[in-house]
Amino acid sequence: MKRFKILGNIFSVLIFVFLLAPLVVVICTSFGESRFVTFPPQGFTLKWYAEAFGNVDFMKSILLSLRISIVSVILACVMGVMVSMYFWKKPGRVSEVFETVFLSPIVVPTVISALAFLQYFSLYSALSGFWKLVLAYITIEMPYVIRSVTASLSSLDASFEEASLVMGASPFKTMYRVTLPCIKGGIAAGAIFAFVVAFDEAVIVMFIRNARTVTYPLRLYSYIMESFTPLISALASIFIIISAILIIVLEKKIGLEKMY
Amino acid sequence: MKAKTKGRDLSKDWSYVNGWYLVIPLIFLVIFFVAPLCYMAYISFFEFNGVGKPLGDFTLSHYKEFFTKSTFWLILVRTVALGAASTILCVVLGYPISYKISRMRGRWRSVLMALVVLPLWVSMTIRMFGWMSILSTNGLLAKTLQSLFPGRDIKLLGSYTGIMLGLIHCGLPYFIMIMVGPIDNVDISYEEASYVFGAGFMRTFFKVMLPLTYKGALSGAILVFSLNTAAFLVPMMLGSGKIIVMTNTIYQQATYLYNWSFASALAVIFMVFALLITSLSRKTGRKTGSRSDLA
Repeated sequence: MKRFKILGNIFSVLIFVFLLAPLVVVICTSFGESRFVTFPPQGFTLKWYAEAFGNVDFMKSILLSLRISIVSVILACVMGVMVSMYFWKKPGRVSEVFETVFLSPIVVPTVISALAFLQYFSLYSALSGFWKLVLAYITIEMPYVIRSVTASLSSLDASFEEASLVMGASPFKTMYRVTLPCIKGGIAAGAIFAFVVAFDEAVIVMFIRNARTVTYPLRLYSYIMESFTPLISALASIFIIISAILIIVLEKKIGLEKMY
Repeated sequence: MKAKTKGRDLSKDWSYVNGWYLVIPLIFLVIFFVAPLCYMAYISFFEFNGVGKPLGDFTLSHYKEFFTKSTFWLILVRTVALGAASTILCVVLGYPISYKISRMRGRWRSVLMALVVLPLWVSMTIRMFGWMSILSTNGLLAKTLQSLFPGRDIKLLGSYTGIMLGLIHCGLPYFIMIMVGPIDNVDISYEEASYVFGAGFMRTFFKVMLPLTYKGALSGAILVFSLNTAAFLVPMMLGSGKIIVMTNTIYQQATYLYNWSFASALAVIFMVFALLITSLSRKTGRKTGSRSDLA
Protein backbone atom coordinates (compact mmCIF):
# COMPACT_ATOMS: atom_id res chain seq x y z
CA MET A 1 0.00 0.00 0.00
CA LYS A 2 2.67 2.41 1.05
CA ARG A 3 4.58 1.85 -2.16
CA PHE A 4 1.51 2.71 -4.22
CA LYS A 5 1.00 5.86 -2.22
CA ILE A 6 4.55 7.12 -2.84
CA LEU A 7 4.35 6.24 -6.51
CA GLY A 8 0.98 7.98 -6.70
CA ASN A 9 2.37 11.13 -5.16
CA ILE A 10 5.31 11.24 -7.56
CA PHE A 11 2.91 10.69 -10.45
CA SER A 12 0.62 13.51 -9.30
CA VAL A 13 3.50 15.93 -9.01
CA LEU A 14 4.63 15.03 -12.53
CA ILE A 15 1.14 15.58 -13.94
CA PHE A 16 0.86 18.97 -12.27
CA VAL A 17 4.28 19.92 -13.59
CA PHE A 18 3.08 18.92 -17.05
CA LEU A 19 -0.15 20.92 -16.73
CA LEU A 20 1.55 24.07 -15.52
CA ALA A 21 4.80 23.83 -17.50
CA PRO A 22 3.73 25.96 -20.49
CA LEU A 23 2.41 28.70 -18.24
CA VAL A 24 5.49 28.74 -16.04
CA VAL A 25 7.76 28.76 -19.08
CA VAL A 26 5.90 31.74 -20.56
CA ILE A 27 6.26 33.70 -17.32
CA CYS A 28 9.95 32.79 -16.97
CA THR A 29 10.89 33.67 -20.54
CA SER A 30 9.24 37.08 -20.20
CA PHE A 31 12.18 38.18 -18.03
CA GLY A 32 14.84 36.97 -20.46
CA GLU A 33 17.28 39.46 -21.96
CA SER A 34 17.87 37.86 -25.34
CA ARG A 35 15.87 38.92 -28.37
CA PHE A 36 14.40 35.45 -28.84
CA VAL A 37 12.42 33.31 -26.46
CA THR A 38 14.78 30.89 -24.75
CA PHE A 39 14.22 28.65 -21.82
CA PRO A 40 15.87 28.73 -19.33
CA PRO A 41 16.05 32.52 -19.81
CA GLN A 42 19.32 34.42 -19.68
CA GLY A 43 19.63 37.46 -17.47
CA PHE A 44 16.82 39.41 -15.91
CA THR A 45 15.06 42.39 -17.35
CA LEU A 46 11.69 44.10 -17.17
CA LYS A 47 12.08 45.87 -20.49
CA TRP A 48 9.59 43.55 -22.24
CA TYR A 49 6.88 44.57 -19.81
CA ALA A 50 7.59 48.23 -20.46
CA GLU A 51 7.41 47.50 -24.17
CA ALA A 52 4.21 45.48 -23.75
CA PHE A 53 2.37 48.30 -22.04
CA GLY A 54 3.62 50.75 -24.64
CA ASN A 55 2.54 48.60 -27.60
CA VAL A 56 -0.29 50.50 -29.30
CA ASP A 57 -1.35 47.62 -31.55
CA PHE A 58 -1.82 45.32 -28.63
CA MET A 59 -3.70 47.85 -26.54
CA LYS A 60 -6.04 48.43 -29.46
CA SER A 61 -6.62 44.70 -29.85
CA ILE A 62 -7.30 44.25 -26.16
CA LEU A 63 -9.82 47.09 -26.22
CA LEU A 64 -11.51 45.61 -29.29
CA SER A 65 -11.69 42.17 -27.65
CA LEU A 66 -13.15 43.75 -24.51
CA ARG A 67 -15.78 45.60 -26.53
CA ILE A 68 -16.77 42.52 -28.53
CA SER A 69 -16.89 40.32 -25.43
CA ILE A 70 -18.90 42.75 -23.31
CA VAL A 71 -21.53 43.45 -25.98
CA SER A 72 -21.91 39.79 -26.89
CA VAL A 73 -22.01 38.62 -23.26
CA ILE A 74 -24.78 41.09 -22.37
CA LEU A 75 -26.92 39.98 -25.32
CA ALA A 76 -26.18 36.29 -24.73
CA CYS A 77 -27.13 36.65 -21.05
CA VAL A 78 -30.44 38.34 -21.81
CA MET A 79 -31.45 35.68 -24.32
CA GLY A 80 -29.97 32.82 -22.31
CA VAL A 81 -31.90 33.81 -19.18
CA MET A 82 -35.12 34.13 -21.20
CA VAL A 83 -34.75 30.64 -22.64
CA SER A 84 -33.78 29.08 -19.30
CA MET A 85 -36.83 30.62 -17.64
CA TYR A 86 -39.05 29.26 -20.37
CA PHE A 87 -37.63 25.75 -19.91
CA TRP A 88 -38.04 26.07 -16.16
CA LYS A 89 -41.67 27.19 -16.29
CA LYS A 90 -42.76 24.94 -19.11
CA PRO A 91 -40.96 21.63 -18.74
CA GLY A 92 -41.85 18.80 -21.08
CA ARG A 93 -40.93 17.07 -24.28
CA VAL A 94 -40.94 20.25 -26.40
CA SER A 95 -38.64 22.09 -24.03
CA GLU A 96 -36.23 19.15 -23.99
CA VAL A 97 -35.99 19.18 -27.77
CA PHE A 98 -35.38 22.93 -27.84
CA GLU A 99 -32.81 22.61 -25.09
CA THR A 100 -30.67 20.34 -27.27
CA VAL A 101 -31.07 22.85 -30.10
CA PHE A 102 -29.89 25.69 -27.88
CA LEU A 103 -26.93 23.69 -26.57
CA SER A 104 -25.89 22.53 -30.06
CA PRO A 105 -23.42 25.41 -30.70
CA ILE A 106 -20.97 23.82 -28.23
CA VAL A 107 -21.39 20.39 -29.77
CA VAL A 108 -20.57 21.51 -33.31
CA PRO A 109 -16.77 21.80 -33.72
CA THR A 110 -15.75 25.47 -33.78
CA VAL A 111 -13.89 25.07 -37.06
CA ILE A 112 -17.11 23.99 -38.75
CA SER A 113 -19.20 26.82 -37.35
CA ALA A 114 -16.36 29.21 -38.20
CA LEU A 115 -16.46 28.09 -41.84
CA ALA A 116 -20.24 28.42 -41.82
CA PHE A 117 -20.01 31.96 -40.42
CA LEU A 118 -17.41 32.91 -43.02
CA GLN A 119 -19.61 31.76 -45.88
CA TYR A 120 -22.89 33.01 -44.46
CA PHE A 121 -21.67 36.45 -43.46
CA SER A 122 -20.11 36.97 -46.89
CA LEU A 123 -23.73 37.28 -48.07
CA TYR A 124 -24.18 40.32 -45.82
CA SER A 125 -21.45 42.71 -46.82
CA ALA A 126 -23.22 45.60 -45.08
CA LEU A 127 -22.50 44.07 -41.68
CA SER A 128 -19.30 45.38 -40.11
CA GLY A 129 -16.65 42.96 -38.90
CA PHE A 130 -17.35 43.97 -35.32
CA TRP A 131 -21.01 42.93 -35.51
CA LYS A 132 -20.23 39.75 -37.41
CA LEU A 133 -18.03 38.67 -34.52
CA VAL A 134 -20.55 39.79 -31.89
CA LEU A 135 -23.38 37.85 -33.56
CA ALA A 136 -21.27 34.74 -34.04
CA TYR A 137 -20.02 34.87 -30.43
CA ILE A 138 -23.54 35.26 -28.98
CA THR A 139 -24.55 31.92 -30.48
CA ILE A 140 -21.57 30.07 -29.01
CA GLU A 141 -21.88 31.84 -25.63
CA MET A 142 -25.58 31.17 -25.10
CA PRO A 143 -25.15 27.47 -24.20
CA TYR A 144 -22.83 28.36 -21.31
CA VAL A 145 -25.30 30.89 -19.93
CA ILE A 146 -28.26 28.51 -20.37
CA ARG A 147 -26.43 25.67 -18.65
CA SER A 148 -25.44 27.66 -15.63
CA VAL A 149 -28.76 29.55 -15.28
CA THR A 150 -30.77 26.34 -15.70
CA ALA A 151 -28.72 24.73 -12.95
CA SER A 152 -29.41 27.54 -10.49
CA LEU A 153 -33.10 27.72 -11.46
CA SER A 154 -33.56 24.01 -10.81
CA SER A 155 -32.42 24.47 -7.23
CA LEU A 156 -34.69 27.49 -6.73
CA ASP A 157 -37.78 26.93 -4.63
CA ALA A 158 -40.91 27.99 -6.56
CA SER A 159 -42.61 28.99 -3.29
CA PHE A 160 -40.51 32.17 -3.22
CA GLU A 161 -42.37 33.34 -6.27
CA GLU A 162 -45.69 32.21 -4.89
CA ALA A 163 -45.07 34.17 -1.71
CA SER A 164 -44.31 37.27 -3.72
CA LEU A 165 -47.47 36.85 -5.79
CA VAL A 166 -49.64 36.17 -2.76
CA MET A 167 -48.34 39.35 -1.21
CA GLY A 168 -49.68 41.19 -4.23
CA ALA A 169 -46.63 41.77 -6.44
CA SER A 170 -47.31 41.64 -10.16
CA PRO A 171 -45.70 38.79 -12.15
CA PHE A 172 -43.10 41.12 -13.64
CA LYS A 173 -42.28 42.67 -10.32
CA THR A 174 -41.85 39.13 -9.01
CA MET A 175 -39.41 38.37 -11.78
CA TYR A 176 -37.30 41.47 -11.19
CA ARG A 177 -37.45 41.55 -7.42
CA VAL A 178 -37.50 37.85 -6.52
CA THR A 179 -36.52 35.42 -9.25
CA LEU A 180 -33.65 37.28 -10.90
CA PRO A 181 -31.96 38.22 -7.59
CA CYS A 182 -32.23 34.57 -6.52
CA ILE A 183 -30.41 33.28 -9.60
CA LYS A 184 -27.90 36.09 -9.96
CA GLY A 185 -25.09 33.75 -8.94
CA GLY A 186 -25.90 31.44 -11.83
CA ILE A 187 -26.17 34.34 -14.25
CA ALA A 188 -22.82 35.70 -13.06
CA ALA A 189 -21.11 32.31 -13.46
CA GLY A 190 -22.58 31.92 -16.95
CA ALA A 191 -21.56 35.44 -17.89
CA ILE A 192 -17.97 34.90 -16.70
CA PHE A 193 -17.73 31.66 -18.66
CA ALA A 194 -19.18 33.31 -21.74
CA PHE A 195 -16.81 36.26 -21.36
CA VAL A 196 -13.75 34.02 -21.18
CA VAL A 197 -14.97 32.07 -24.22
CA ALA A 198 -15.45 35.25 -26.24
CA PHE A 199 -12.26 36.91 -25.08
CA ASP A 200 -10.08 33.89 -25.90
CA GLU A 201 -11.85 32.90 -29.10
CA ALA A 202 -9.26 32.51 -31.84
CA VAL A 203 -10.80 30.11 -34.36
CA ILE A 204 -13.84 32.00 -35.63
CA VAL A 205 -11.91 35.24 -35.80
CA MET A 206 -9.18 33.54 -37.86
CA PHE A 207 -11.79 32.59 -40.43
CA ILE A 208 -13.75 35.86 -40.61
CA ARG A 209 -10.95 38.28 -39.85
CA ASN A 210 -10.28 41.51 -41.62
CA ALA A 211 -7.76 44.26 -41.03
CA ARG A 212 -10.16 46.10 -38.71
CA THR A 213 -11.02 43.20 -36.43
CA VAL A 214 -7.69 42.02 -35.12
CA THR A 215 -8.75 40.85 -31.68
CA TYR A 216 -6.35 40.09 -28.87
CA PRO A 217 -5.97 36.32 -29.53
CA LEU A 218 -5.50 36.96 -33.23
CA ARG A 219 -2.85 39.66 -32.60
CA LEU A 220 -1.07 37.28 -30.26
CA TYR A 221 -1.21 34.52 -32.86
CA SER A 222 0.21 36.66 -35.64
CA TYR A 223 3.00 37.98 -33.37
CA ILE A 224 3.92 34.42 -32.38
CA MET A 225 4.05 33.34 -36.01
CA GLU A 226 6.05 36.39 -37.16
CA SER A 227 8.44 36.92 -34.30
CA PHE A 228 9.27 34.81 -31.33
CA THR A 229 10.30 37.51 -28.86
CA PRO A 230 9.91 37.76 -25.07
CA LEU A 231 7.52 40.64 -25.74
CA ILE A 232 4.86 38.01 -26.40
CA SER A 233 5.81 36.24 -23.17
CA ALA A 234 5.37 39.47 -21.26
CA LEU A 235 1.95 40.12 -22.81
CA ALA A 236 0.86 36.54 -22.19
CA SER A 237 2.15 36.60 -18.60
CA ILE A 238 -0.10 39.54 -17.78
CA PHE A 239 -3.09 37.48 -18.84
CA ILE A 240 -1.95 34.35 -17.03
CA ILE A 241 -1.79 36.38 -13.81
CA ILE A 242 -5.26 37.85 -14.47
CA SER A 243 -6.68 34.35 -15.08
CA ALA A 244 -5.09 33.05 -11.88
CA ILE A 245 -6.62 35.90 -9.86
CA LEU A 246 -10.00 35.29 -11.51
CA ILE A 247 -9.89 31.60 -10.59
CA ILE A 248 -9.03 32.32 -6.96
CA VAL A 249 -11.95 34.75 -6.73
CA LEU A 250 -14.33 32.28 -8.40
CA GLU A 251 -13.29 29.39 -6.18
CA LYS A 252 -13.90 31.57 -3.12
CA LYS A 253 -17.23 32.98 -4.31
CA ILE A 254 -18.91 30.22 -6.31
CA GLY A 255 -16.77 27.10 -6.14
CA LEU A 256 -15.09 25.72 -9.22
CA GLU A 257 -16.59 22.27 -8.87
CA LYS A 258 -20.06 23.55 -9.62
CA MET A 259 -18.96 25.15 -12.84
CA TYR A 260 -17.89 21.94 -14.58
CA MET B 1 -56.04 40.90 -11.51
CA LYS B 2 -55.97 37.67 -13.48
CA ALA B 3 -55.04 35.63 -10.44
CA LYS B 4 -58.44 36.39 -8.97
CA THR B 5 -60.28 34.49 -11.70
CA LYS B 6 -61.82 31.41 -10.22
CA GLY B 7 -61.08 27.85 -11.29
CA ARG B 8 -58.07 28.58 -13.44
CA ASP B 9 -54.68 27.02 -13.10
CA LEU B 10 -52.83 29.44 -10.87
CA SER B 11 -49.38 28.46 -12.10
CA LYS B 12 -50.35 29.49 -15.63
CA ASP B 13 -51.91 32.69 -14.51
CA TRP B 14 -49.14 34.23 -12.54
CA SER B 15 -46.44 33.16 -14.87
CA TYR B 16 -44.61 36.06 -16.45
CA VAL B 17 -43.04 33.70 -18.94
CA ASN B 18 -44.73 33.59 -22.30
CA GLY B 19 -43.94 32.17 -25.70
CA TRP B 20 -41.75 35.14 -26.61
CA TYR B 21 -39.18 33.97 -24.08
CA LEU B 22 -38.51 31.05 -26.36
CA VAL B 23 -39.32 32.53 -29.74
CA ILE B 24 -36.99 35.55 -29.71
CA PRO B 25 -33.80 33.61 -28.85
CA LEU B 26 -34.90 30.82 -31.15
CA ILE B 27 -35.27 33.16 -34.11
CA PHE B 28 -31.84 34.55 -33.30
CA LEU B 29 -30.32 31.08 -33.15
CA VAL B 30 -31.98 30.01 -36.39
CA ILE B 31 -30.81 33.10 -38.28
CA PHE B 32 -27.28 33.20 -36.94
CA PHE B 33 -26.42 29.57 -36.27
CA VAL B 34 -28.73 27.08 -37.97
CA ALA B 35 -28.94 29.03 -41.22
CA PRO B 36 -25.13 29.37 -41.59
CA LEU B 37 -24.71 25.63 -41.08
CA CYS B 38 -27.45 24.86 -43.59
CA TYR B 39 -25.95 27.30 -46.06
CA MET B 40 -22.57 25.62 -45.62
CA ALA B 41 -24.09 22.21 -46.35
CA TYR B 42 -25.90 23.73 -49.34
CA ILE B 43 -22.70 25.21 -50.81
CA SER B 44 -21.01 21.81 -50.68
CA PHE B 45 -23.31 20.57 -53.45
CA PHE B 46 -22.56 23.38 -55.91
CA GLU B 47 -19.67 24.68 -57.93
CA PHE B 48 -18.10 27.68 -56.23
CA ASN B 49 -17.13 30.60 -58.47
CA GLY B 50 -15.72 33.06 -55.97
CA VAL B 51 -16.86 35.25 -53.09
CA GLY B 52 -19.90 37.38 -53.97
CA LYS B 53 -20.57 35.54 -57.23
CA PRO B 54 -23.59 33.28 -57.73
CA LEU B 55 -23.07 29.55 -57.20
CA GLY B 56 -22.60 27.31 -60.22
CA ASP B 57 -24.22 24.02 -61.15
CA PHE B 58 -25.27 21.26 -58.81
CA THR B 59 -22.49 18.72 -58.36
CA LEU B 60 -21.44 15.86 -56.15
CA SER B 61 -17.83 16.08 -57.27
CA HIS B 62 -16.59 17.49 -53.95
CA TYR B 63 -17.80 14.47 -52.06
CA LYS B 64 -16.53 12.19 -54.79
CA GLU B 65 -13.12 13.83 -54.56
CA PHE B 66 -12.94 13.16 -50.85
CA PHE B 67 -13.97 9.53 -51.08
CA THR B 68 -11.81 8.64 -54.06
CA LYS B 69 -8.57 10.35 -53.09
CA SER B 70 -6.56 8.48 -50.49
CA THR B 71 -4.89 11.72 -49.34
CA PHE B 72 -8.11 12.89 -47.75
CA TRP B 73 -8.93 9.50 -46.33
CA LEU B 74 -5.55 9.49 -44.69
CA ILE B 75 -6.21 12.91 -43.17
CA LEU B 76 -9.45 11.69 -41.61
CA VAL B 77 -7.77 8.56 -40.25
CA ARG B 78 -4.93 10.66 -38.82
CA THR B 79 -7.39 13.01 -37.14
CA VAL B 80 -9.29 10.18 -35.52
CA ALA B 81 -6.12 8.32 -34.54
CA LEU B 82 -4.61 11.40 -32.87
CA GLY B 83 -7.90 12.09 -31.10
CA ALA B 84 -8.23 8.50 -29.89
CA ALA B 85 -4.62 8.16 -28.75
CA SER B 86 -4.67 11.44 -26.84
CA THR B 87 -8.02 10.53 -25.27
CA ILE B 88 -6.71 7.21 -23.99
CA LEU B 89 -3.68 8.94 -22.49
CA CYS B 90 -5.91 11.58 -20.90
CA VAL B 91 -8.00 8.86 -19.27
CA VAL B 92 -4.99 6.93 -18.01
CA LEU B 93 -3.19 10.02 -16.72
CA GLY B 94 -6.28 11.83 -15.48
CA TYR B 95 -8.03 9.12 -13.50
CA PRO B 96 -5.47 8.89 -10.67
CA ILE B 97 -5.45 12.67 -10.30
CA SER B 98 -9.25 12.84 -10.11
CA TYR B 99 -9.12 10.07 -7.56
CA LYS B 100 -6.60 11.94 -5.48
CA ILE B 101 -8.59 15.19 -5.59
CA SER B 102 -11.93 13.54 -4.82
CA ARG B 103 -10.52 11.81 -1.76
CA MET B 104 -9.25 15.11 -0.42
CA ARG B 105 -11.16 17.62 1.64
CA GLY B 106 -10.81 21.26 2.48
CA ARG B 107 -8.13 23.65 1.42
CA TRP B 108 -5.88 21.32 -0.58
CA ARG B 109 -8.80 20.11 -2.63
CA SER B 110 -9.56 23.69 -3.72
CA VAL B 111 -5.92 24.43 -4.42
CA LEU B 112 -5.43 21.35 -6.61
CA MET B 113 -8.71 21.98 -8.40
CA ALA B 114 -7.68 25.55 -9.15
CA LEU B 115 -4.32 24.33 -10.49
CA VAL B 116 -6.08 21.85 -12.78
CA VAL B 117 -8.40 24.43 -14.30
CA LEU B 118 -5.86 27.23 -14.50
CA PRO B 119 -4.64 26.16 -17.96
CA LEU B 120 -8.24 26.19 -19.24
CA TRP B 121 -8.69 29.80 -18.22
CA VAL B 122 -5.56 30.88 -20.02
CA SER B 123 -6.02 31.63 -23.67
CA MET B 124 -5.38 28.68 -25.97
CA THR B 125 -2.95 30.80 -27.99
CA ILE B 126 -0.87 31.45 -24.87
CA ARG B 127 -0.82 27.77 -23.87
CA MET B 128 0.35 26.77 -27.33
CA PHE B 129 2.95 29.54 -27.27
CA GLY B 130 4.25 28.05 -24.03
CA TRP B 131 4.50 24.65 -25.65
CA MET B 132 6.26 26.15 -28.66
CA SER B 133 8.87 27.66 -26.33
CA ILE B 134 9.39 24.29 -24.65
CA LEU B 135 9.48 22.26 -27.86
CA SER B 136 11.49 24.62 -30.08
CA THR B 137 14.98 23.48 -31.05
CA ASN B 138 16.69 25.62 -28.42
CA GLY B 139 14.00 24.89 -25.84
CA LEU B 140 14.52 22.94 -22.66
CA LEU B 141 12.99 19.62 -23.67
CA ALA B 142 14.65 19.44 -27.07
CA LYS B 143 18.04 20.32 -25.56
CA THR B 144 17.73 17.66 -22.88
CA LEU B 145 16.76 15.05 -25.41
CA GLN B 146 19.56 16.17 -27.69
CA SER B 147 22.13 15.65 -24.95
CA LEU B 148 20.66 12.23 -24.16
CA PHE B 149 20.67 11.12 -27.80
CA PRO B 150 23.51 13.10 -29.36
CA GLY B 151 23.43 11.19 -32.63
CA ARG B 152 19.87 12.01 -33.55
CA ASP B 153 18.33 15.14 -34.96
CA ILE B 154 15.64 16.06 -32.46
CA LYS B 155 12.73 18.04 -33.84
CA LEU B 156 9.72 18.24 -31.57
CA LEU B 157 7.81 21.03 -33.26
CA GLY B 158 5.96 19.60 -36.22
CA SER B 159 6.19 16.06 -34.90
CA TYR B 160 3.48 13.75 -33.62
CA THR B 161 5.04 13.91 -30.15
CA GLY B 162 4.55 17.65 -30.06
CA ILE B 163 0.93 17.46 -31.19
CA MET B 164 0.17 14.69 -28.72
CA LEU B 165 1.63 16.75 -25.86
CA GLY B 166 -0.55 19.68 -26.88
CA LEU B 167 -3.70 17.58 -27.22
CA ILE B 168 -3.21 15.85 -23.88
CA HIS B 169 -2.55 19.19 -22.25
CA CYS B 170 -5.87 20.49 -23.60
CA GLY B 171 -7.96 17.45 -22.76
CA LEU B 172 -6.55 16.46 -19.38
CA PRO B 173 -8.08 19.29 -17.27
CA TYR B 174 -11.56 18.54 -18.65
CA PHE B 175 -11.24 14.86 -17.91
CA ILE B 176 -9.95 15.42 -14.39
CA MET B 177 -12.72 17.89 -13.56
CA ILE B 178 -15.45 15.62 -14.94
CA MET B 179 -14.18 12.57 -13.05
CA VAL B 180 -13.95 14.23 -9.62
CA GLY B 181 -17.75 14.07 -9.19
CA PRO B 182 -18.32 10.39 -10.10
CA ILE B 183 -15.39 9.19 -7.97
CA ASP B 184 -16.53 11.35 -5.09
CA ASN B 185 -19.93 9.63 -5.26
CA VAL B 186 -18.34 6.26 -4.56
CA ASP B 187 -18.11 6.09 -0.81
CA ILE B 188 -14.66 5.25 0.50
CA SER B 189 -16.20 2.43 2.57
CA TYR B 190 -16.68 0.42 -0.63
CA GLU B 191 -12.95 0.42 -1.14
CA GLU B 192 -12.26 -0.30 2.49
CA ALA B 193 -14.64 -3.24 2.34
CA SER B 194 -12.77 -4.58 -0.67
CA TYR B 195 -9.43 -4.25 1.13
CA VAL B 196 -10.81 -5.80 4.30
CA PHE B 197 -11.92 -8.84 2.33
CA GLY B 198 -8.39 -9.24 1.09
CA ALA B 199 -8.47 -7.76 -2.39
CA GLY B 200 -5.30 -6.00 -3.47
CA PHE B 201 -4.95 -2.58 -4.99
CA MET B 202 -5.31 -3.79 -8.57
CA ARG B 203 -8.30 -5.96 -7.81
CA THR B 204 -10.06 -3.21 -5.88
CA PHE B 205 -9.51 -0.85 -8.76
CA PHE B 206 -10.75 -3.15 -11.52
CA LYS B 207 -13.56 -4.85 -9.60
CA VAL B 208 -14.88 -1.99 -7.49
CA MET B 209 -13.78 1.46 -8.60
CA LEU B 210 -13.82 1.05 -12.35
CA PRO B 211 -17.30 -0.52 -12.69
CA LEU B 212 -18.75 2.15 -10.40
CA THR B 213 -17.18 5.07 -12.23
CA TYR B 214 -17.26 3.64 -15.74
CA LYS B 215 -20.11 5.86 -16.91
CA GLY B 216 -18.47 9.07 -15.81
CA ALA B 217 -15.17 8.04 -17.35
CA LEU B 218 -16.87 7.28 -20.64
CA SER B 219 -18.65 10.63 -20.83
CA GLY B 220 -15.38 12.37 -19.96
CA ALA B 221 -13.57 10.39 -22.65
CA ILE B 222 -16.23 11.26 -25.23
CA LEU B 223 -15.87 14.94 -24.41
CA VAL B 224 -12.07 14.83 -24.67
CA PHE B 225 -12.26 12.88 -27.92
CA SER B 226 -14.65 15.33 -29.52
CA LEU B 227 -12.55 18.27 -28.34
CA ASN B 228 -9.29 16.76 -29.54
CA THR B 229 -10.46 15.66 -32.98
CA ALA B 230 -11.83 19.17 -33.46
CA ALA B 231 -8.68 20.86 -32.13
CA PHE B 232 -7.57 23.61 -34.45
CA LEU B 233 -4.90 25.70 -32.77
CA VAL B 234 -2.91 22.68 -31.58
CA PRO B 235 -2.10 21.39 -35.09
CA MET B 236 -1.83 24.94 -36.41
CA MET B 237 0.76 26.05 -33.86
CA LEU B 238 2.55 22.84 -32.89
CA GLY B 239 2.32 21.09 -36.25
CA SER B 240 4.29 23.79 -38.13
CA GLY B 241 2.33 22.91 -41.25
CA LYS B 242 3.69 19.38 -41.37
CA ILE B 243 0.92 17.47 -39.69
CA ILE B 244 -2.29 17.82 -41.61
CA VAL B 245 -5.57 16.96 -39.92
CA MET B 246 -9.17 17.69 -40.88
CA THR B 247 -9.39 21.07 -39.16
CA ASN B 248 -6.36 22.67 -40.75
CA THR B 249 -7.29 21.21 -44.15
CA ILE B 250 -10.67 22.93 -43.89
CA TYR B 251 -8.95 26.18 -42.90
CA GLN B 252 -6.50 25.95 -45.77
CA GLN B 253 -9.19 25.15 -48.33
CA ALA B 254 -11.41 27.98 -47.08
CA THR B 255 -8.97 30.83 -46.55
CA TYR B 256 -5.95 30.22 -48.80
CA LEU B 257 -7.34 28.24 -51.72
CA TYR B 258 -10.82 29.82 -51.59
CA ASN B 259 -12.26 26.42 -52.43
CA TRP B 260 -15.36 26.99 -50.36
CA SER B 261 -17.41 24.15 -51.79
CA PHE B 262 -14.78 21.57 -51.06
CA ALA B 263 -14.15 23.05 -47.60
CA SER B 264 -17.88 22.74 -46.93
CA ALA B 265 -17.94 19.15 -48.12
CA LEU B 266 -15.02 18.38 -45.80
CA ALA B 267 -16.81 20.07 -42.91
CA VAL B 268 -20.02 18.14 -43.56
CA ILE B 269 -18.17 14.82 -43.70
CA PHE B 270 -16.19 15.67 -40.59
CA MET B 271 -19.31 16.64 -38.66
CA VAL B 272 -21.27 13.53 -39.69
CA PHE B 273 -18.32 11.41 -38.71
CA ALA B 274 -17.84 13.11 -35.35
CA LEU B 275 -21.55 12.83 -34.50
CA LEU B 276 -21.56 9.19 -35.53
CA ILE B 277 -18.68 8.25 -33.26
CA THR B 278 -20.04 10.19 -30.29
CA SER B 279 -23.53 8.73 -30.58
CA LEU B 280 -22.13 5.22 -31.03
CA SER B 281 -20.01 5.42 -27.92
CA ARG B 282 -22.93 6.97 -26.03
CA LYS B 283 -25.09 3.98 -26.92
CA THR B 284 -22.57 1.36 -25.86
CA GLY B 285 -22.01 3.38 -22.70
CA ARG B 286 -25.70 3.31 -21.86
CA LYS B 287 -25.87 -0.44 -22.26
CA THR B 288 -22.85 -1.19 -20.12
CA GLY B 289 -23.87 1.48 -17.67
CA SER B 290 -27.24 -0.11 -17.03
CA ARG B 291 -25.61 -3.49 -16.52
CA SER B 292 -23.33 -2.16 -13.82
CA ASP B 293 -26.32 -0.43 -12.23
CA LEU B 294 -28.09 -3.73 -11.89
CA ALA B 295 -25.13 -5.57 -10.45
